[in-house]
Amino acid sequence: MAGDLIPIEDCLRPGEVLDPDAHLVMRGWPVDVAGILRNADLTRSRYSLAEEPFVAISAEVTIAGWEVDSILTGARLRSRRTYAIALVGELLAAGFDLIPTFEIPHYSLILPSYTEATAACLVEVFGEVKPNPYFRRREP
Amino acid sequence: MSKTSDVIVTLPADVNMIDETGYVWTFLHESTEPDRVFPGALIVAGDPVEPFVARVVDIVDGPRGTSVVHLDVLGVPEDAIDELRHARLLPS
Repeated sequence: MAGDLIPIEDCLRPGEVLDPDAHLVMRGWPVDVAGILRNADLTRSRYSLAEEPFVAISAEVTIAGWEVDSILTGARLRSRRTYAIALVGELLAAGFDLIPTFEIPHYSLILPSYTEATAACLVEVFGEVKPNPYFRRREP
Repeated sequence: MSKTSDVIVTLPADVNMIDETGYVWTFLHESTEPDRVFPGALIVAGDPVEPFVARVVDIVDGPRGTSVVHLDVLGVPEDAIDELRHARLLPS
């Protein structure tokens, strides 16, 4: 049972429809098995879905005017040297689901199970991490 | 920057992870040095591979007696070090 976890249903944004062939899902580092499981463990320790612990990680989606560049230049992802990206359709085909939560363009990427195999599958769908061109620092 | 193996993160956190406040969140008990984590504190958070500098916004009650920390991401440690050196608050 979910005990006093927060129902993620209370944190949904209504009315958003994803295009599997157009919208992109992005995530800054960490995009490895350990990082994904760590994120999912924290999420399931605070939130529930259908009265069960909510096993999901955070991601951003190019929706409603948000584009790759505008997401990468945001305060949070600008701090990432690397990021990963995948089509919504690729994630859905691999058995992952996405729901719009908290502030746009944040999405919760639902893991079908909390296992290393599931996390490894997600890493594989995301593919190689890419350098973030907007990660900058002043020259010393 | 220090080798990854030498980096000590005051509060492990995932910069992707926000909640209804719009801030990054994590649990206080993730920290091995919780005394360094208090509202207004400037800390190094994240993980040893890609740490970030953050301001602790607040600490609120979480489920099952836990405490949830909200973080405002300020940037990367290299920028903070460069600025302190520029201000001669750190040796060049």
